[in-house]
Amino acid sequence: MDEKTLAHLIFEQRPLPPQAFDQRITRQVNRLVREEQAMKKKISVLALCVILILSLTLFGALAELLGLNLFEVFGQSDKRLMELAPKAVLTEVSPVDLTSSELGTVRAGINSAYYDGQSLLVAYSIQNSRFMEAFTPTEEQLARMQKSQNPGIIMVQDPQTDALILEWNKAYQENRPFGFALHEINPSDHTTAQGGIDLPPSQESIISGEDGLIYRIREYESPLPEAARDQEALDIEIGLFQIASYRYFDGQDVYEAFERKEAAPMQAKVWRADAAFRELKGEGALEGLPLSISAQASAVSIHLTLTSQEGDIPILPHPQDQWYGLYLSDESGREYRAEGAGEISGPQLAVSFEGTGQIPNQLFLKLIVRSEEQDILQALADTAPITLE
Amino acid sequence: MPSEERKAWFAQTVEDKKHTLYRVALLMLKSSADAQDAVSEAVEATFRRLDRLRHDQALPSYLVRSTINASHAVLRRRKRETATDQPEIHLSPHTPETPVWMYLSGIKEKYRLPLMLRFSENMTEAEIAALLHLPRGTVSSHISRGLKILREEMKKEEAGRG
Repeated sequence: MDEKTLAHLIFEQRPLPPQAFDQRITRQVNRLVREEQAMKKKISVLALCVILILSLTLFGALAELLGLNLFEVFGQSDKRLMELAPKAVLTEVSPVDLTSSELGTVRAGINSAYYDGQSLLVAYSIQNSRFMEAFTPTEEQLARMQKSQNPGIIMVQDPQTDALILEWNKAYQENRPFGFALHEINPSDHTTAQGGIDLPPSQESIISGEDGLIYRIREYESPLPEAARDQEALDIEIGLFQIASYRYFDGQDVYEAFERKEAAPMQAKVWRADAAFRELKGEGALEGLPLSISAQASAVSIHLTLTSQEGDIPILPHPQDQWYGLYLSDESGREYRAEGAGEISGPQLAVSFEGTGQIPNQLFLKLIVRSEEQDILQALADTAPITLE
Repeated sequence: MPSEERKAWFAQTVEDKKHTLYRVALLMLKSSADAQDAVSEAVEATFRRLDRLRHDQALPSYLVRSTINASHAVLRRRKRETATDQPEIHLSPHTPETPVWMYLSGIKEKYRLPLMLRFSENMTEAEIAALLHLPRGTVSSHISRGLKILREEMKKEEAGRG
């Protein structure tokens, strides 16, 4: 059999999943949307309770200004953030009040942030960030809109609040003209510090509430760009955009238009958290090569650097089948998750791990040359840990 | 919160790609039940990160990548739970006409996935390279080498029978 025929057979004989799989995935997608709405309601109730408590007790002015420490809200599902919450309280924030004819008054602000000299996390909220209304374009407006390639049917989250989406879907199925406009205030993807240092984000989590209330927590690549490291404080700024999306179905085609306008940014001064770092050191070997190992451990992340004392870290002879495995744990038995594959540069191998919210006193590192067929449990059992302290 | 349009795009993309995701997981895990679980995990994880996607066009690749990650997680779990046992092989028991896939599932992952993505899912080498974070030349040689290995394995089997 020639290779062309073989390639053709791979296509022809593709296995299909059982029918139940299709149903399962369809149900799951529907559930995800419904669940998100249910979660929104639950969080709203929780947030209301917390706001009431905070307003009456500890955080007086801040609670009145922006609500609550969002690290605690996100900490409900991420223990690390709950641990960081006390160190993330801000005193110098500049919330933004925007007025829009469609949205009314929108309040947006950085609520809390954690900075330890190397890592940064910023939580912020935007109230009243979203509004929908029916929209029928004039001939002139329609001429400026573009035909859409997006799917005509739009998924409905909540039939009660998304009446216009329901109406849109119905009109689309009945080939009846209909349109709506969505007005939103959205944050920029960019965060700057000290008036111009761009801080690249690594991930962002979002909780949506009712009436366009959103809570977000943004994490940044760690370590931060050099110019933003080891500062006493960071003056951070996240831009805001006022966005209007228009969608119109003329009974045959879907047309879209989009407008974006820059609004005033959210700003805050984030003071460096106290005692936020620990330097740990140790010595070990990799395949007989002596190494000195250092770790910069914070509550957010651990940056591990292995330096060979005798020349470069060797490139493995079969890099497609072999790789260096680094297994890190601490004195409490907590295991750390590596962020990415790490980098070898001459005599150094650098790897970052996600923190646990606490700073370890001791770290234990197991270094193994891994391969696909290897029994990793046995390899770990056979490898003595290197202690870093 | 993902926009309505993005959610609709997500639902549509999952619908379009779910069989591809299943086959990716199946080739890695060799068990239909595990493959279904891995795809389910990947769909869940992707939805939770939908807001972080910069471009809608990246969603199909993101789903495949998530499926590969979820499959690796299953493989790691298996190693922890049954360190010495080989995983059960249940490659599509409902389709007895799939001998090529039986052989395909037996070759190394580094050849198996590029071959499958190229010929079963009609992805270009450039797309596969971006997805697997490999240089395009490496993908090309893995596909070429993988085809040779596959053919040799099938020949061996035929010779054994004959």
